[in-house]
Amino acid sequence: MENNTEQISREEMYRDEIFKLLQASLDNFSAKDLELMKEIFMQEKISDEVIIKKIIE
Amino acid sequence: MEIDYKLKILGEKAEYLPRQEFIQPLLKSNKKIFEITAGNGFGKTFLLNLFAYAFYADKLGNESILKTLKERVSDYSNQKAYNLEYNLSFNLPDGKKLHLYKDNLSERIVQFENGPPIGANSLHKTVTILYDVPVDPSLRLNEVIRDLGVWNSRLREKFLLYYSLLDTIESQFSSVRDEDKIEKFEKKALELQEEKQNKLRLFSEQDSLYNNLNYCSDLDKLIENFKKLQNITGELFKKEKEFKNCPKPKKIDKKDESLIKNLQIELNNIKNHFKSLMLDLIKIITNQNDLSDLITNDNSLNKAFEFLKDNDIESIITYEDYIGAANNFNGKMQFLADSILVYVNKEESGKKYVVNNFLNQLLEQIDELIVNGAEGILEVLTKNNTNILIKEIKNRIIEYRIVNYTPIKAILKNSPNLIKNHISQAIKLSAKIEEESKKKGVDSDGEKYYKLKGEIEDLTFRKLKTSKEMENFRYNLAKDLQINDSQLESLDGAFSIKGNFRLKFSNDINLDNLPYEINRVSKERQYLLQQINENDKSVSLNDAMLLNEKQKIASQYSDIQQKKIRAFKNGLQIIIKNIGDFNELINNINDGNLERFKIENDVKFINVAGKIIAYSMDNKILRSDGDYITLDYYDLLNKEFHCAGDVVIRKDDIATGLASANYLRQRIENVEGQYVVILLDEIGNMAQDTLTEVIKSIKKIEEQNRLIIAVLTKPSRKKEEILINEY
Repeated sequence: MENNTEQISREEMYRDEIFKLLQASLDNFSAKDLELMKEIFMQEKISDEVIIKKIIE
Repeated sequence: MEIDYKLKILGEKAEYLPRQEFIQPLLKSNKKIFEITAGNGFGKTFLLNLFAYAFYADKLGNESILKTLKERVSDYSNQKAYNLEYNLSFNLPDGKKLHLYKDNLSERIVQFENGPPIGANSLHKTVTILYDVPVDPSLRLNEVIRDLGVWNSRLREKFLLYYSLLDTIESQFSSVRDEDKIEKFEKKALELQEEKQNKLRLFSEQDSLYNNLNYCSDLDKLIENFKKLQNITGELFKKEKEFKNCPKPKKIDKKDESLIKNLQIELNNIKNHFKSLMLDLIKIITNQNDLSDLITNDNSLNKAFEFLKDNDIESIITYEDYIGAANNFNGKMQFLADSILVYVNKEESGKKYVVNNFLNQLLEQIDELIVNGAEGILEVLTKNNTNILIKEIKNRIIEYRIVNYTPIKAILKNSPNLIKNHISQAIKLSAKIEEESKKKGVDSDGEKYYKLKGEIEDLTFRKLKTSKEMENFRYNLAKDLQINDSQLESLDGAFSIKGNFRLKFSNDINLDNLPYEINRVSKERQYLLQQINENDKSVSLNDAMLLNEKQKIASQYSDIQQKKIRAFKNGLQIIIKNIGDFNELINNINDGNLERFKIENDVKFINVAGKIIAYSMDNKILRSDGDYITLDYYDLLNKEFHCAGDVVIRKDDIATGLASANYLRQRIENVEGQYVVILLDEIGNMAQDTLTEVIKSIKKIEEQNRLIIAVLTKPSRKKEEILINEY
């Protein structure tokens, strides 16, 4: 169980950076959609119900 | 602390036990950090492997231990190669003991003091084992890159799951009811209905106009027939009067008179046949709209056609130069027939005919397949039900409907010769009558007598025939016009009805050119009929689609929600594609193909990777003077560390030991777990001051009461030297 917090932290940093890099390609996305997309990037798991609800709300 | 072991290497038939001069200093010390320098053969690396094996380092994830070390440790489980027994005991920082032991036949056992035996997973929840060989700094960078690959794949898999979720939902959209579509179809149904009513109204108007124009034309024909009948009657009256005054020839017997009379009858028959042929020809041309257009639009053809209509066989044979007149008539007839045949042949080789013929042949061949029970092959090839296919082909045949020119062609091919023969026979008969009359001594009076007699018989026949035809025609026309047929019994009556009937038409109708108007209105009427049929097809299709949509189950998502789901799914697709591309980039980085990265997005990704590498190194680099400098990012393309104050340090300019120390410090200082075991092999290439930095990091762990033991080894050039530094 070596260095787990740091591992997740680096992975989180990676996800954050990749999201910043790719969000430009989502030019049709509203601020709300981008926020949801970032959540998907950053969170380990979002339930199907929650994600659908957020998309259609 | 206890350290005891026995290792048998079966292949070598050798047995190794702890060398006391090497182990005892460790057992006697109350320190936890040992730097062992020894020559080859003392078993210093084995000691690290033994500890690693006992602490299940071979069960760590690939992100926590080098693959080579993991394989090395794991190998001690191979009972065909090794027999390993050991008994280890460590004092934990809280004063308890941790026992790790194994005999020749048993599995590894780990037990906290007074606790039950535990497995690798439970052990690693409490104790972190850090085993490393800090010899190759570029290997460390590769480790980070490998991490990027793992994270990237994990990210892609996550996005694929969400994409799959939205894809499943979207796939149900087409099978659930779309209220917008229903509304659209219903609106379309109303529009089509309205359109149909408008077309039907227009069609009714055009149909009524078309009928009235035809009635008008029929009235003209009736009037013409009245005039014709008047002419025949007048002519007959004149001939009969003349005949009364014409003496009967005396020198001719009954038999000769009969011959001449028969010739006259034969001539009249030919004249009638000729007339009938011409009428058929004129009728078939004028009834076919495109042929009428062809003639109307061509001056030469029009003239020829009018000439043929205006002349009959009588006018040819009574002409002074009857041969010339016959040739002129036949020439015009041939010209007309040839011109129309050229046009018809051209039409028949056009796209419409090619398609129509192909489709008809196809239908015949499908019929053959069905008769032979082999339509299955057709369904395989067309992926369609045969009945649907046949219906579709028939629809296309209607779309590519063609005029059947076969009867017209037959008439046009035969008529010129028939007419030519009739003219020729009429000329011959006329000449024979003249010759027979002369031969039988019929004088000019006698000749006149027989001629008049024949003409009277012909006129009588024509009068009778015309009267009879007019009777039926008049009856039907009166019925069509909804008037009493007595109103059409006379020429004046017909004129009167026609005069009144013409008032029904608006001023824009040219009643002086009825054939043109009938043709024009007929075309418009046909066009409207076609549009009505097309409208009906659209109505059927729209109704079917509406019914189909209504029969679907109502969707749980509105149209707007469906659009949102589709749009988000597209966004996920873009992300998945890009992340997939990044996987390829990471593989290329691993393979060292960095010169390939020229696209802006690739370079940006490389920069992200560089930032992660810097972050993995705790965003600092240990310099040779022992001080740290802040590291912003690592430039993978140029292999440079970009540091604070615009300092750029080339990777190759950092000593191996420094790079290793940077890495090790980062790993040690970020290590987790209640207890920690640190095993570092081959630290010989580190300068003492950088090693001191590493030991400082280990000390921090010890100060946190987490360190169980830390063993660092380096080789000695002197084979028998053993030097153990304690910290």
